[in-house]
Amino acid sequence: MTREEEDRLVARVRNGDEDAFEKLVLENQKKVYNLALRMVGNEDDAFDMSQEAFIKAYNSILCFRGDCRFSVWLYRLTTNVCLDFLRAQGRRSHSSLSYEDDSDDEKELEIPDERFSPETEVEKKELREAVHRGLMQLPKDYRVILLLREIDGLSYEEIGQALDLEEGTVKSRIFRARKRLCAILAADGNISERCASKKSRGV
Amino acid sequence: MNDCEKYIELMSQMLDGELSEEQTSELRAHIASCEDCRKAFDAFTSVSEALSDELCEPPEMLAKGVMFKIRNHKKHRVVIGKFTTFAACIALILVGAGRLGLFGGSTGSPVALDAGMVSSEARSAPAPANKSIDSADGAKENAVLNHTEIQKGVKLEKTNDGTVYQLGFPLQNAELLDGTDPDAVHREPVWLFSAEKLQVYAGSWHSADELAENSGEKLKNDRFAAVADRGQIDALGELLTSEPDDTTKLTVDSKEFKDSEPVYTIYIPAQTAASQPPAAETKVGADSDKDSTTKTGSLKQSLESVKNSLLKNADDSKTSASPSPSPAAGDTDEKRLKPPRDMTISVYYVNGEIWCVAQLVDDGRANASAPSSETDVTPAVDCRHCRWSRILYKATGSPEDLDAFMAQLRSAKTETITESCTGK
Repeated sequence: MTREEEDRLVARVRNGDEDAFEKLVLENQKKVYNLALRMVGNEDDAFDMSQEAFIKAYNSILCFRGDCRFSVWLYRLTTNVCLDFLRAQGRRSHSSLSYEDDSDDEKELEIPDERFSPETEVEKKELREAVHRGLMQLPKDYRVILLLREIDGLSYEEIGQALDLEEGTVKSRIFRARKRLCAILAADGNISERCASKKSRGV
Repeated sequence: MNDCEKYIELMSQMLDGELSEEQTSELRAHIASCEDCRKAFDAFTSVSEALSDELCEPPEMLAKGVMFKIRNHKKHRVVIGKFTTFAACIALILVGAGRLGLFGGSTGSPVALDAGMVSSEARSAPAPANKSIDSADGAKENAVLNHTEIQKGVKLEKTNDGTVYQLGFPLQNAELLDGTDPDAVHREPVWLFSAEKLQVYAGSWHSADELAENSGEKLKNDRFAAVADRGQIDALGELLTSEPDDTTKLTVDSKEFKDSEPVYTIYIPAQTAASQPPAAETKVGADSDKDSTTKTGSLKQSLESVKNSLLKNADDSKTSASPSPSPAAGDTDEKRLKPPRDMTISVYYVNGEIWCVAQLVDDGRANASAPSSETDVTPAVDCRHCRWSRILYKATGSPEDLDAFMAQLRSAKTETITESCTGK
């Protein structure tokens, strides 16, 4: 859906057209749901979070100023709903406390061997599962930013709009998130680890 | 940062399509020549693919549920407009009263008490989210209420009258509004929509007694706006209206509210003849929306007749201690339910959400924590006036929107604020 189409539907919703909102829901539900699913880690909560995000969007659409795409704004609401939920969950994952500790990120990337490039479907599935588990161990802010990029396909500029971040921060945080995720995967033994950076040092 | 590290950072951007062609070809050339970077690139690519491929299909009920809630809710919110709360109250009371036999001539007290207990019991023992079927069983047991106690996470249930409820929204509102559950901590500030004027304070509002007692501590009330414009009050009402929330562990006594200053406090003066609202310092947008009362005229009339009959039934059990709201009797020019007592709504920001503590301004009569048994069994109409002294609820609006609204309220003395937020 183009931005123009989105804007037209939003205008109709503002005028009380519920069917227009339904179109927006149908258009965005897959990305919203998957974003929520990977944020909260289970289907039941993801369902609730997605629903809450849509209801919130509908209720506050009069206050949506249109300075970014509706979908970007919607993903922002979704991430906020999920983050609030995770906080309320009592920090069930230790990752929420680890954001301050960025020391890992300063390490050079642990580069895995070839097993990181899965060839077969089974390998791909295994990796996918490992990545999703690793994702849940990421600090929440890293998880959010990586998901907005990978699931929702937002550009750095749009992510900046959604999370109120400078583009430069978006760039470096996504990079750090990827690095951290690779490190988690390596540390969990999902990939054999080999710190190639030792070899590359001094290049 | 060595060269490889630099290239690896660029890889992240390349995957995201954020590199120029020139940078991309330089990076590709390096990857082709550097084994480690190729592996790193493979790793990044694999992780990226693993994250983004095979997105799950959302449950079919997601969109349906959202639209169900919206359409169901909108019946109250939009059609009835600013009579949202009042009308929903009346509708729900009507249903509830009918079920409880309040129209049968008796006060219905024992039944009302029972219903309240069933309801609060059901709430205080939440079923695990995945045991949705329990809800349907609960419906049969609680047949007196004839609606399902829907727990969070329930996708869809049918009640015995064939009505489909989704995620408890209608039911929660029932409890929000009709006051059948004395333990419910989340209710709507019914007076917000019906207020004729509001005072807005930054931070806390202190009573004259408090100010006098603590004169050494530099307590002061920082009022920055007085609002009398219907549109503005409604806009504020939309931001601060309650959002059903059954996930929270917050209570009115949580430290978030007990130990912190509110961001804003809204003071809603009573509008009974007996009490005088504090004088407004600044009138903002003084042209009150008189037309709005005519739009819903016929609706109001029909609601009025319902309300009259309810009040008639309620008359017998009114306690002398309760302030007399008498919203119907003698109230010819304005048929809205009016605040019978001064109240404040303290606005807190918690985790990016607005939470409000609505509180009746203590005039020595409020005693919600220990209601007499007489009060306890008073039919719903009276509950809404006197049962509580403090209620906590989560508001629909976002802190950013409220701040924006307040900022405009602070600055704009003449222009109407409603335009920016209502889009009309």
